[in-house]
Amino acid sequence: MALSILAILLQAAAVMALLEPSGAPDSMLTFLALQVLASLCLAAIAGNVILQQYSETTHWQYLYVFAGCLFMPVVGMLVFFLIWLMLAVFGYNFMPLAAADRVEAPDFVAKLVKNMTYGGGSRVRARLENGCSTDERMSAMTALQAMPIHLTEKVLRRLLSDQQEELRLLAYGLIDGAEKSIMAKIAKARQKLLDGNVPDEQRIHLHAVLAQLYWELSYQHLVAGEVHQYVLDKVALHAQTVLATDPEDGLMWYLLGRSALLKQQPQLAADCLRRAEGCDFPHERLRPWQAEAAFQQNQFSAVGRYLSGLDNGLAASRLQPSIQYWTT
Amino acid sequence: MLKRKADKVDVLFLLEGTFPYVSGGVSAWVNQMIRTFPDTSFGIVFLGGRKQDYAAPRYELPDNVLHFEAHYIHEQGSAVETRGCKGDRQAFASMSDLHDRLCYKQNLEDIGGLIRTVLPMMAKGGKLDEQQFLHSEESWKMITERYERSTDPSFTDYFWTVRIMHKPLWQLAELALNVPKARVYHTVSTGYAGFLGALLHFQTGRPLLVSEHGIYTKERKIDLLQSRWIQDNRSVFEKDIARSGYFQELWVRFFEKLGLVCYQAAEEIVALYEGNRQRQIDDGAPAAKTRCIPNGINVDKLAALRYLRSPEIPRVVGLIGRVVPIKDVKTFIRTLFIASKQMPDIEGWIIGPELEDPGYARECHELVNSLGMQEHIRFLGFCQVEDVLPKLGLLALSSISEALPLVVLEAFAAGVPVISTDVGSCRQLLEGGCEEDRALGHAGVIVPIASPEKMARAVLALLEDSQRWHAAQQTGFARVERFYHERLILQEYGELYRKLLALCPEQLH
Repeated sequence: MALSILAILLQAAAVMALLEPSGAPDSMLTFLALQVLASLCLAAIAGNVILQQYSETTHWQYLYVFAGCLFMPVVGMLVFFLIWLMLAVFGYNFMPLAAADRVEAPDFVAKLVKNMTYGGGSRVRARLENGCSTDERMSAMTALQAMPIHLTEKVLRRLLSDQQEELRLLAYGLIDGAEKSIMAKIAKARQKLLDGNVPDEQRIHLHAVLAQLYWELSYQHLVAGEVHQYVLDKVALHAQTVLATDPEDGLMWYLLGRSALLKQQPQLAADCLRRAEGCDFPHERLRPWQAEAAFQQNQFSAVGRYLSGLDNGLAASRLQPSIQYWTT
Repeated sequence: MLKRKADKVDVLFLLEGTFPYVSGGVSAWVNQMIRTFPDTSFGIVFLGGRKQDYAAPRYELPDNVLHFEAHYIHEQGSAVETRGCKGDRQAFASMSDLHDRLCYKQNLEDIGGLIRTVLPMMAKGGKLDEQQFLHSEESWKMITERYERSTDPSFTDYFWTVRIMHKPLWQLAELALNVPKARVYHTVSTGYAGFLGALLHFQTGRPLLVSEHGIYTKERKIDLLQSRWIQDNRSVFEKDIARSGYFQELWVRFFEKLGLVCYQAAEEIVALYEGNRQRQIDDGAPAAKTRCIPNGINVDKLAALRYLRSPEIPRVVGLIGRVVPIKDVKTFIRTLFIASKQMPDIEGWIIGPELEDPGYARECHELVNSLGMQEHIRFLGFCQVEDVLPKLGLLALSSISEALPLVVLEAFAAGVPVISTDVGSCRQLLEGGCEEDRALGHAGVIVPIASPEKMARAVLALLEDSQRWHAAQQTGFARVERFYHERLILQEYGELYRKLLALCPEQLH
């Protein structure tokens, strides 16, 4: 606090020095000297609190604050003083901009679609919006039937509360159909597992199959909330059973890592993914998730390192903007 | 038991895929209607798909059912002679005119006149009989001309689709000439039964009463859009994945036209609730002919069950209904799974037969095992509602589609609040319809379909809040007593029957 008051006083004195009658040869030098001192004082305190807001930064913050105060007399001082006040005195805690939950997710704007000449999927989605006739929307649903469920699940879930019963039922049918086929396979595998005559090797294989099938329920967003957590636990249970016998199964480590990420356990996820890497699991599939785990732990420099290892040309189109952002 | 024959009846029921072979709400309603008017003679014409799909009847025919006959429209039937002929140009022009009017919904007011002209020609030996349809030159010309409107490249598929689609209509036309005389025709759906009713009305001039429970056309539309058996022959260059196949749309339009003809012919069109009535109007029913008459129950009989309840609220949530996909029993199971995390002593009872869809029932059992819910969820099979309702804390309805479920009314009468998905008239039942009804309050909670998280929250909220539970119980009972008492409903139908029977004052008995 004392240092901040000193900074303010020094700034005031610098301004006063400038207001000395012109002709005084020392007034400019006095101003500069006082300005430098004021800037140094504020940089010392403001730079420090700004530094604390980031988990990984360098000490260049001090230089930035010093330069801001020096080259923008009064204004710069005021700005950084206010920032210091908000952070140190009023306890305001601004998250780093990289925190995804502070940024609103982009929204689909149906009315802009008619200007697009690409993206047939968006046209389908626009036709599903409530403004179109029921027949148009029903017809658009047939397009969703042909698409993979993990891409259309969000749209389908929203349609579950649509005003038109036909659309609700069609959406339900698609989601239920996808879930039904996976659950049938799970039931079959569980039944075999319960059979006492299964040799050990096949038993381990069945656990691996079950881990993947339960993972498929999660991957296709067919479960939510508590049921989702339960499914992830099942993935972990079956994957760990396999790994107890065969610790070199990279796929099981990968599934453990992915499940841990969804359960908000980034450290565990990072460890599992590292183990998968050690088992020669394809790097191209691991890197994005290792980057995600690093991101969740605010290790932002690591994010770039992981993503830079990906071949931009081969990476999924949805990933390319992220690669570009983190590697430039 | 089903061997009943009469030449004349007061009311002829035209039933498709329901009473007496299929158990459920509609069949129970038909059964109740017949027994409520013992002085009225009834006949039943049952239409099914194939005989092998129907086992023994689930209901005994009441004594005032004087006539019963069953027909299966997807069975082969008697062979039609393969004999080429020219066909009558004028007759086929009338048929074409009828098609166009239905297609473009033009000049529908005198469609009855056109059907009256065409119908006799469809009888065996007539200018538009089945033989003419299948083998005449004029028929071929009509089909090929109309094929030009098709967007599917396969003429073969178009030709055979048109044949298969229209074939049952000749069977219905034949039926219309041979069923017993009746003063009133009554159908509980559009579709083939409704079309038969329209043919009978146009032929005899006797009034047709349509009282729909679900909306047939809508249900067929959903089935058709989900179907995999309908071919789409468009190549990858022709196909727009955002457009359904031509034949799917053709089938949908076919059922829409059947419904339209039925509505045009009807004297009165009844829906269970306002939402369905609006749907009927959207599908072409003249608004002036439509009205709502909800389901009703014997409130007094069920009200006695309230005195059998324990003072504490049982932590038991029941789903009363057949174990079939439309009831979405899986969402109920997941709901209980989620609720059990917070309320470990909660129980879920699934009360209903499992025979209708054994595959689905098996999936439900597997889901219970997979979630480890064997201690919490019990499958009780079919039980009398009187035995289970007093033991339930809540009734849960997780269906993805309903009209006006009787089980909700029964729960209200027995003093059980309800958690229901927002389908059919359930919101109206739980939260009130008219202003006077809404003033009574909420008799439960409405949740979206397929949302076990929200359903679980609603279950816990009601079971843990005794005051709210009792308020919902009181509201449910007041609502069913005031608006859904059986005597009110049967009074309305009694008046409707009187009005329609009076249009044909001829005394048959």
